[in-house]
Amino acid sequence: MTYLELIELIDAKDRRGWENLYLQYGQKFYGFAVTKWSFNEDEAWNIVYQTLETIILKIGDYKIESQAHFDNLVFKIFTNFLRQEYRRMKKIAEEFQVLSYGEMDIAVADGSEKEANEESLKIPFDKEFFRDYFEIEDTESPKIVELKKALNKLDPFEKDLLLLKANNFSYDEIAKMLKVDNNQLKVKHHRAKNKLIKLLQTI
Amino acid sequence: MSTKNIKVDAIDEALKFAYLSADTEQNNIVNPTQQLNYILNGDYPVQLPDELSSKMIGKLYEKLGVDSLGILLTNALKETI
Repeated sequence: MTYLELIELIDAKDRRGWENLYLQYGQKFYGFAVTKWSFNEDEAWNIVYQTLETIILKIGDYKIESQAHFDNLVFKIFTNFLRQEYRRMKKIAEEFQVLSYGEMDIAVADGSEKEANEESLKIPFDKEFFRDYFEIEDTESPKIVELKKALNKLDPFEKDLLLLKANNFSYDEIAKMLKVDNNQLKVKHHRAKNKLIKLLQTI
Repeated sequence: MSTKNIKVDAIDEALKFAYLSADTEQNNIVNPTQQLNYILNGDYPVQLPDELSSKMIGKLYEKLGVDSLGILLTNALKETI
């Protein structure tokens, strides 16, 4: 069903609009939230419910001009609720530790990607940063802004690879999504991550 | 979700935050259509059971699709005037 048909049904308060919105988006969002973000079933249910509710409430406020515009709105609303729930859950988390550069999943098989001067490479995100991030709502952390700037300096392929892996997609899934061979994808991921860390030293 | 005693990779974790705020207009780092397609085309072993799916659709429709008694009365009054 196209976005126009979906909007028309919802505007007409036709229940099929609600059903199709759930089938086209809600079902997948639920699977994504549970499988890739490790939310439990109740948390995922809430995220999907609030997302669909907001889409239904908001689409009347916008003049949706294209599928891309509609997708943008849907993605924005979904990630917003995903973020809220993620912050809420992490905020009440009791304890976690941050890996050092040396412990991070960066080295390739022969270890050549590990820098001899790895001590000089600083990871700008420490435990304090994460605590602050979960405490402060609404404002975007300057460090995340820097991270985004660094990401935008990478090749689009490297950027997508890092973001998809951070979303817990497997290398097999990423290979299909990015339409590339799975061969060496893990190595490419580690190299991209190392490149990102180095870029962060310069920003 | 339990994060007790978990060791986190700071870069992966920060990338998650960047992704979750990826759509901010000034610092856009993704194409929303593309990202949405990645999510919608994924195969997930977990699905909401049919019963709970129906419950969600029903609850949303009841809340947003059905006119409240007040609106029904207002409309009825308008029609009779």
